[in-house]
Amino acid sequence: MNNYKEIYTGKIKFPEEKKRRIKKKLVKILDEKNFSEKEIDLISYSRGYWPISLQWFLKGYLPSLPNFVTWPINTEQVSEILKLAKEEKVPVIPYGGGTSVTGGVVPLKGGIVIDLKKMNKIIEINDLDLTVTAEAGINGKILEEKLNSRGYTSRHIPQSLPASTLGGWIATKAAGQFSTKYGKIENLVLGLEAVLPNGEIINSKIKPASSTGPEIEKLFLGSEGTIGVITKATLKIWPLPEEKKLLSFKFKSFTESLEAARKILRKGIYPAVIRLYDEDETELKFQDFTEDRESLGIFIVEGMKEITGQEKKAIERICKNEGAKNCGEEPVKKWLNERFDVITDISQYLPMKVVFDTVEVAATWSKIPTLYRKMKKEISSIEGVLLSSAHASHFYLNGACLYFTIGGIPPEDVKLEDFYFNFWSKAMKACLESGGTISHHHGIGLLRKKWLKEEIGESTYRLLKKIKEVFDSSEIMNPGKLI
Amino acid sequence: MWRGKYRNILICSVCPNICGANCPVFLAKNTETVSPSGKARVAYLYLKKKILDVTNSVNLFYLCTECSACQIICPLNISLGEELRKIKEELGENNLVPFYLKQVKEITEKMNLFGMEYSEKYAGEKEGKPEVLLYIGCSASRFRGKTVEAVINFLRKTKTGFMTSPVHEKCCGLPLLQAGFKKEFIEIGKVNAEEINNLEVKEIITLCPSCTYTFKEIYPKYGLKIKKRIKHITSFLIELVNKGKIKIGKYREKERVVYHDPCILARQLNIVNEPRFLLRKTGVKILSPPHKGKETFCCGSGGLLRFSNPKIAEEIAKKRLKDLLSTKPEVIVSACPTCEETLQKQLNQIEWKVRVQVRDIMEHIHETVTIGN
Ligand SMILES: Cc1cc2nc3c(=O)[nH]c(=O)nc-3n(C[C@H](O)[C@H](O)[C@H](O)COP(=O)(O)OP(=O)(O)OC[C@H]3O[C@@H](n4cnc5c(N)ncnc54)[C@H](O)[C@@H]3O)c2cc1C
Repeated sequence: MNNYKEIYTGKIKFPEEKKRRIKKKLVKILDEKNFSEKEIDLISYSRGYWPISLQWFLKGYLPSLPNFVTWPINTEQVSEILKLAKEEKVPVIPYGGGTSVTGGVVPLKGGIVIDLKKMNKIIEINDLDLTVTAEAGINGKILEEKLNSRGYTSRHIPQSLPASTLGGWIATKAAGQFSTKYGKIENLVLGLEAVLPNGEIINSKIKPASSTGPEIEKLFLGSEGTIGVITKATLKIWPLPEEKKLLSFKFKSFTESLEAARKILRKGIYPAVIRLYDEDETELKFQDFTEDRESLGIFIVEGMKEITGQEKKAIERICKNEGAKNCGEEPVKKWLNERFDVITDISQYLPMKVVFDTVEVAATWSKIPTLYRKMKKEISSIEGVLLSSAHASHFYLNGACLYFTIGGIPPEDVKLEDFYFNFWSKAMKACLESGGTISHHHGIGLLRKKWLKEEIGESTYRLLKKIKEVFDSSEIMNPGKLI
Repeated sequence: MWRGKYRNILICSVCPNICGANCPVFLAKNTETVSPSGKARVAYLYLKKKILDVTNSVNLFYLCTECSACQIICPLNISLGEELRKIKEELGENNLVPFYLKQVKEITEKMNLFGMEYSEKYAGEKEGKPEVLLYIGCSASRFRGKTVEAVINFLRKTKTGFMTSPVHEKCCGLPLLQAGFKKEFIEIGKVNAEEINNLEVKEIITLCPSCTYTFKEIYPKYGLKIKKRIKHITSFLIELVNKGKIKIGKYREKERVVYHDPCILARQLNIVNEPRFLLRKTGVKILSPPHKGKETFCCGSGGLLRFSNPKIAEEIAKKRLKDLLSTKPEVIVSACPTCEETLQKQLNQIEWKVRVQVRDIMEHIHETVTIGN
């Protein structure tokens, strides 16, 4: 973010005549009840869950407001809204659960919010293909509960599950807590339907794999509302696992716990969950189970009975070889109990005027140790930073994601925003210098836009801009985000 | 605000809506604004006087069934409904309660939420030396005559000395509080407490879980004290069974019954197993609906939603009925006259498709009861 003041644009004023015209057309498309320009609705769709905007909100500052909020109930309505927006050159902000932590849903230039939450039907659960097809606005928890009641799971369980949506996951390339075994959302989507900014509807085949040239629909993965609106998607599902085994170990250091994880994956064992906490985070969260400066690791293996037992044994052996001590099931149960709770911490931080955020980056194994050290050093060197702990919870044969939690109180002469963007700058710079990728699953949004060019390289960046233009020549789709 | 009475509103306003998917109003309307955190965000800005549109903000605060489904999943154990009630009390003090809740204020004169005639309907019943005050409640007297008759028959059959309110039964006052009329709530509460305390009964049994909850838990918070044991009818029944005073026969063998947990009974009064225990004794097959026990789902008539927004209330009722019917029951049993009335009304609209009865647990049980061992 070059200039955060850009966000305080307030409500964009259209000429009255234009406003009336757009309103009339929107009401015609949607019906009065699925359209609003009430202040309470505009406010509700102004913020998302970008941490700095929470601080602004508490002071009573509202980031930019949209001009209209719409709740289409089918793909055709989405298409009509987009046609209208293009005709009138009005920005459109696709909105799922509003859990974006990067300013992705802030209506920077006003316009029309398209909230997908009323498009929330499950269209088909296919037992033979093991797929679920649903409308993009379906809530994660509702989807998972419906699947569970039929004996399945999507195994895509982000911490924001109770509030985020299928479309939002795809648009941000989200990752769930079980991603080590089942993959991120991009590994789970088998097909989708989307509406292009000119109103055209595209539909991809549901397929396990194909070799038919570049798959255009895949551009919607991580598109953050900038090339169109996802209206439907098909995901892989799994029968609920027969058995689960919970394990935890304490390691002498975070480096050693990471080594253990690397060796486990190298043996071809993919636990559904691996969570390794650095020494600081272990102290904060698992004090009762560890001694000074240890690193706790928790593992969940799941699947068929015959296999989980064997995997458990192998993990125990590898961790022991790394010098770890067994901590039993309790730490895992503690995590399972608390895994959707963010508000307890937040309600403690905010009144103390603590500025906080989470930064998730990733790298291949060879770069992980430097990435961790460098980011931690840079962040904690900032005056006012009180916390810079990390954990790793998404693992791959070739590397892992590191997830930093940063919190601090700006020194007296430093503005809140300067402090916040400063720790982000330091973190991003350290990440890029260590060869890491600047986001593993939260996306770019408003927040990380500044570093995207460096991340992907100038030529690729230019190409990406051109691709966006092909989709969105009128530049109406979620302006100011991603690119 | 972090230390004041609105602390929890503030916390909810910065929560990412962890409880959203539990909230019946949110699930019926699917807009960010009516979600629990959405309401808290508007409430926070309203309290900070940052909102110009007061009317719509106030209307929004009443889009809550006060069912506390949010509290069940909240790591901080906050019920947004309870928190919003604090704002409503201020609205009441400043004469800002929305016009559509005027009917509620009339409770102070008409004594019953649905009109004077219902406050007299079952007044003056008496049997033996009354040890028990049967407190019928607004909803049962207005809508559930069958339930009231079943209870009275039951009490007579079990030779329980009981009475109903001598001349008029006055509403417990909860709707007043839910609308924001705190002063009026305290007034009616005082009259109720005085009248009940003067009776020679030892305990009060109520048909409506809300009445028990109000007398037992809410009155003391407002300095009102009822010096009698207060029980929901299901607790009373269980005691009779446990003491061996009554026996429930398996007269309803093989009937397919789905039990709908009333929110307040399950969540506030912790009565979840008792009704099932009683049902099991009648020999029925108890079916398991989505959302049960403390995780139950509101019937739509919680709070004052059916007055503030009948359409959303109906949507919620539809959803709940669908859940219950998904178990393919012959009978829906509950233990709250308001839930029963709501579900029955909803069922009537699709009666041509399904033949399902709605019964209060007392209607279900009273005929199967015999006295002693
Ligand atoms: C407490 C908390 C925990 C979190 N935990 C995780 C986690 O474990 N893993 C993870 O990956 N992320 C996590 N996040 C981040 C966030 O939940 C994800 O980015 C999520 O995928 C966003 O989904 P949403 O439905 O809320 O989307 P929104 O926030 O509504 O939107 C996000 C972006 O996607 C676009 N968008 C939304 N829907 C559509 C659509 N249908 N078509 C086109 N564009 C669309 C929006 O315009 C926006 O740019 C967390 C956030 C919070 C607040």
